[in-house]
Amino acid sequence: MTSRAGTLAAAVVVLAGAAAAVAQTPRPGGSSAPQHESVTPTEQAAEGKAVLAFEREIAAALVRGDVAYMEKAIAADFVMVHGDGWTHGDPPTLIDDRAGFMQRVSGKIYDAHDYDVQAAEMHGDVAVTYGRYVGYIPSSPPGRRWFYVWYQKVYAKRGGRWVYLSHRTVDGAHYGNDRRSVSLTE
Amino acid sequence: MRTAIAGVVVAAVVAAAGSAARGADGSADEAEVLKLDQRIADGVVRGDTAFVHSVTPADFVMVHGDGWTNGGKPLLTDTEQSMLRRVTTKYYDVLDFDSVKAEMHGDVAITYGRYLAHTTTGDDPGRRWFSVWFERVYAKRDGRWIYLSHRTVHGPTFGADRKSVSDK
Repeated sequence: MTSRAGTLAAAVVVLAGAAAAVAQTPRPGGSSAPQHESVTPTEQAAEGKAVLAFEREIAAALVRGDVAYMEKAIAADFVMVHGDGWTHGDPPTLIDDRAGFMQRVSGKIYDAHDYDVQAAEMHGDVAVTYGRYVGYIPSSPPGRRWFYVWYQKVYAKRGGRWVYLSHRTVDGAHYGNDRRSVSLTE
Repeated sequence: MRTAIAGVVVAAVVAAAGSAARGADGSADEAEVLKLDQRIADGVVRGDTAFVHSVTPADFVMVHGDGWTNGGKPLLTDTEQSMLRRVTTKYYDVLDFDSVKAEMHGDVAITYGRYLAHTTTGDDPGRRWFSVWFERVYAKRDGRWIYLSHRTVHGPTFGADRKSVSDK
């Protein structure tokens, strides 16, 4: 066990985003400070940072309603699974395909989509990311406009650029009345 | 006019044929992917290190425990090397998958579902049976599906026998 832990420790690379997240101060009564680390080979760490930057660019494009950007960024067979019910065999809250997701983009339904935890697990031309974001949808009912979600996403590098394939919520969505109530930090 | 209509018809037939071909390939891939989890698990249980090594890359990652899903620590993170040690030592004697579904993205596949497991080791008999819900990622490389990643999304839930974890 000690040997395994030592091997793992040597293999672990904490990406900048995850490291910053770990350094954040948790809100009282909120989620605990993120403890997880990004496990990725050293030689893939730079590509991991590029994927996390791409993930943030997609969120920015979603908020500004940038359909042209998003059409290039997401795959034709894109899938977004909302709600964590699927993690224990229940039906998900909602599943978006590319067309459904693009309606959210063109409709500019998000006023905020901000990552507060991001980490990457790299496998060459396939990337798995996981983390947490805070969202704000003004058209939702009061009390459900601010929320946070923990997620796992998958990307593939095709034709020299990363493409967004899949989002699955692994915990949440959890709702609050304001940004502070759903944020990790003060 | 007639030529134009004929051209449209030909284009439609070609497009339909292409779509059908992609659908057939996609269906075949999905059928294969849906069997992958159990096929690899069978290799793990019989201690077939060579087989499991052949379907996992050097950067394989297996995250045990769902702590990571809300900012906590996973129970353990296996690399390919440490996972293969479990295979060699026949750490598991039962790995039975159910409720497996696939989300296909061409040469990338995501599977999710549940398995029941039993380990042959450990001091606590009450923790030898357990159930796990998972998300896995595969990539098709050189015509073969390779197992890249496992992340537990719920569990493990432990019990003293198979029955006690079969509905968890």
